[in-house]
Amino acid sequence: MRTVAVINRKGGSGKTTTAVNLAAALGERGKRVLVIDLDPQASASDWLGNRRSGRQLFDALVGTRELTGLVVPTSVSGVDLVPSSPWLATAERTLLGDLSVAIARAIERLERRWAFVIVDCPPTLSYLAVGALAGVQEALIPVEAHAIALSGVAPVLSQIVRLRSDLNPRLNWVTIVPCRVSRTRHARTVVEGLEQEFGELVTRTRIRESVRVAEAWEARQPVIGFAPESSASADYRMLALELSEGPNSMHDDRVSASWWRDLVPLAAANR
Amino acid sequence: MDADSRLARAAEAFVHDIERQEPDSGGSPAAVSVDGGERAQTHDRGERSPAPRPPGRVHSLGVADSPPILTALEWAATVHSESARLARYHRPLAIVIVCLDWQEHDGSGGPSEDALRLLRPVGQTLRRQARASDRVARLGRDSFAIMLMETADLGAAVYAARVRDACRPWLAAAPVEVDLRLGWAVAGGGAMIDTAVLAALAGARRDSAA
Repeated sequence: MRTVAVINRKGGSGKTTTAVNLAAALGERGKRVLVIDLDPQASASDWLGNRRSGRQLFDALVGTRELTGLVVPTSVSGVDLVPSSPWLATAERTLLGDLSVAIARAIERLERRWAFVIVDCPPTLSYLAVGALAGVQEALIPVEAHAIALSGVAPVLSQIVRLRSDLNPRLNWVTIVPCRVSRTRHARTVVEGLEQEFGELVTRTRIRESVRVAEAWEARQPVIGFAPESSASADYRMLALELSEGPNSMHDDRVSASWWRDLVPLAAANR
Repeated sequence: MDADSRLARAAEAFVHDIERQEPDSGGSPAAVSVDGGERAQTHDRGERSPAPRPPGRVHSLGVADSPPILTALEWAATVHSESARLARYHRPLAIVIVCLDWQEHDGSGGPSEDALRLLRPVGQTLRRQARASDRVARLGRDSFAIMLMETADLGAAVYAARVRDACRPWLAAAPVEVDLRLGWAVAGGGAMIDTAVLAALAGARRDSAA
């Protein structure tokens, strides 16, 4: 079971879009996927048609319910969901570091029913996101193809490196996905800059800018269900293929160890 | 302390450190709660030291000068006022002492003019790595004292590590050979600030091999 936290400190970078559409694309490939919505804004839950107003996830994290008991099926083939709860904001204010531990342990204790567990994190490195990163094995950073977004990647990476050292040595992989890539020269320059700076961390797949994604959100469907012939659908399918069967799917210890040795100086240089 | 408690404290130190790096990031949900309430400083369980901020304003775009580096006299006054606060509210507070250990001296036995030029960037680095509510003071010719509010041992150790890393390029570029010596101690839980300062000084002296 692969556990992936979708994270970026910049709001609007495409975390929820990536989490939901990647999950749908993996489900289409026959993988069983669980999406855990840790963002109190509950965008992923909304998108997958399961926004909840109660305390369910909050109760699971404070120990009065099991996380597995909160899993609900969605209308998307192969995709289950743990919906968010507005009480997560309360949990952050009251539980602090204990919340991070509870999230990490809840992820670790999940039954191995799913091939992928994708955690949609809030747009900040606070206790919710730290808890997710403390419990998963991989981090995925969607980056909008814009110069402002590019400048925010190195700090996030640096913080993930440090978090791995302080909190979660099992965090073995980081993937950077260029999103909203338009046909402009600027977007091409940004993507080239990402590849130059972060090398093999960057996926070969580019998620192209497409209005179908926004339309799919309005329809409360993943884009591959709403507009299966669109470029966005093709891109998310390619991303699912790359993540499930490409070079980034190799996670043996030898690859991970050497990769982290190369990553740490890279993150330090970009701090 | 069991593994979960250690992990929780490490997570708090990590988040605390992120907020320390970006004290005015009002756009972050760590600072602005989802329900639109007032700034939620998740670490701030006690009274913060007063810092001039306009009420009800999100500071994500604000640009403000850092608080100044205190003189020895101002430091003494700060210790006096914070001691009273500590005795009343029992909130943790850490003292970090930073000393520059000169390896070369001029004829008078003190550091040369070139060496003393290092003090300004080191002081600015100490100030920059601290939060707005923390106090940085220059004590004597080549020592600094930092008072970290609402900070326990782990937070002080993190600050010390960051400062050492951040000062390294300055020390490497200095025209003279100089080492940075750091010590820290936590006041609170019965230990007064003066005691913590002495303990931090002792720690800095022991740090000469760093």
